[in-house]
Amino acid sequence: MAGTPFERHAIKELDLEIPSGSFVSILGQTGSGKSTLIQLIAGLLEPTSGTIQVGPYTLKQGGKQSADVRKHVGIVFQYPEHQLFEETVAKDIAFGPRNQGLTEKEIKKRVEMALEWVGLPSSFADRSPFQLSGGQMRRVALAGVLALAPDILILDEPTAGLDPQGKMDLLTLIHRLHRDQNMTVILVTHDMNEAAKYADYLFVLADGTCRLHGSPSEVFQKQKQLTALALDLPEITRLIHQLNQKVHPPIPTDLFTIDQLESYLLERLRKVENV
Amino acid sequence: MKPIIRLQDVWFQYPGTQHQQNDWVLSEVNLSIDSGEYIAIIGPNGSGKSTLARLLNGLLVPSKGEVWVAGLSTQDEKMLWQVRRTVGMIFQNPDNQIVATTVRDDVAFGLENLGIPRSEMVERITDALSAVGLTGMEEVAPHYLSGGQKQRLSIAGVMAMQPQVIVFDESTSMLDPQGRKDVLALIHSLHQNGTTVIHITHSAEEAFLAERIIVMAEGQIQLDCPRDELYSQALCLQRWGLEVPLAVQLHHRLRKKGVPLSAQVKSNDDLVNQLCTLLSKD
Repeated sequence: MAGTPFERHAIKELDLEIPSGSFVSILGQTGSGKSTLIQLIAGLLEPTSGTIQVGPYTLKQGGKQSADVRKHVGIVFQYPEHQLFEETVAKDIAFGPRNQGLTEKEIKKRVEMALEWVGLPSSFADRSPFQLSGGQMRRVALAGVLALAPDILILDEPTAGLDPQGKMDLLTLIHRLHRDQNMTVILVTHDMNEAAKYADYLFVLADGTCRLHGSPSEVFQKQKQLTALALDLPEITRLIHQLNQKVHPPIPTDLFTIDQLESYLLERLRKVENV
Repeated sequence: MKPIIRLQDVWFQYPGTQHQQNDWVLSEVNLSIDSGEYIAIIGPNGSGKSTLARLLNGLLVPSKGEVWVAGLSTQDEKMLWQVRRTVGMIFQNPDNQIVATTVRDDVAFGLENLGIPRSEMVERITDALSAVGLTGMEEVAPHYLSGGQKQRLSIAGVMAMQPQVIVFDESTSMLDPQGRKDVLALIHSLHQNGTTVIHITHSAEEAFLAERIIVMAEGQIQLDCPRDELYSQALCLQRWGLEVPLAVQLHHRLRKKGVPLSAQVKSNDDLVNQLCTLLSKD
């Protein structure tokens, strides 16, 4: 609403670079500009000023390339299962590819591919999406985006509302797609454990600009800054910090899985025994 | 003392599914909740947690069996009003719980329905907004609030009605870390002030803040025990695909590898202390 009393910059003076084929996570409080940022990258919003380069395309105010960008960027919004609408799973997944003007044969191939990618059996194709469980509905919605064969996959809090098992299954699936299909993944999340475990690189937004960025170990070392931005540390990092109040020399804080922490502690205890 | 809520052999199925014999969302649920308790209910998606929550204030009534709230059966339609005054609910999505155009009016909505006199209403609104930290925002339109603020506004609306029991149905799952912390702090202070709190959640970290934990799966209560008792044997939560506290997982793994830790771990701090002792043995 530029030029009105309600004008407000959701994003300002933001510079960031996401390497092709990487898995990055965007963190930040509600209202920090995360959703605006992903809509800019996906070509759904135009920047008021500045430019966004997505592969060979440039997005800018009044630019003409957003339609091209949208062919390469798939975006999965929050609670995507609310957007399911077709009679059958196959028809719902086919909606996007059909809009892209693909042939029926190609559409059929894409639907099969997408179902396989999200780990649903092909027998689901003829079922109604509304009679599936919450976790299955979310997979169908994800399949609808994957059927567009995007190079960049953006997910806005994809695990919200799922139970722990459902969360892990979904993220494992996304991570596998990233690895096997060399898909660039941009994950928006409030869950620091997810960001630490799956992303190679993190961007922390606050008030519409990028305040912190780096690998998970670089970002999660900056405990004070994160607390000031009202963000948490991953559970495992908090446990290590707690141990480090009494343990010298300190335990490294770049251990983000329980396997890593376990082997480190075993190694270290072995040394203590031998002294 | 009589329990504030009692479920007696409760079975439930959604209308229209009766022809399917085995389609029970809940079966054989027996549960007794005393006034002032702080209970967490955990369970995988589809385990019947939210259905159970809706039975507690008469939004749903059991297909078989009975739910008693403060001595009143929820089957008795004449008593539903009183039942709902006793048990307040906070849902997952704050956007679905806000009705008015300003923060003050939103809190006033429930009180108007209860016919509270104006002078008392003003006092209750002031108190509730101050308890949730929204003092000074009385004239703000709710859609300008953040998710966490909206959820605190929903809580203020329920608090102002002074129910004896408040059920939080995954009320933190859509919030950012700060919003989550704020709501958990509010739950804690409600409990301190004597309100009975029932918190449905997917997070082990949140569940273990309660005094008593109930595990639901396949429409039945699988476990119902005090927090400390469940903590030391929390590995069993894996059976239902639920989260096991990190300290319990680590303790189990290290002990399996022969690290001389105590047979059971009581809390995060307990594990930290034991590990520190071992690591600084030289």
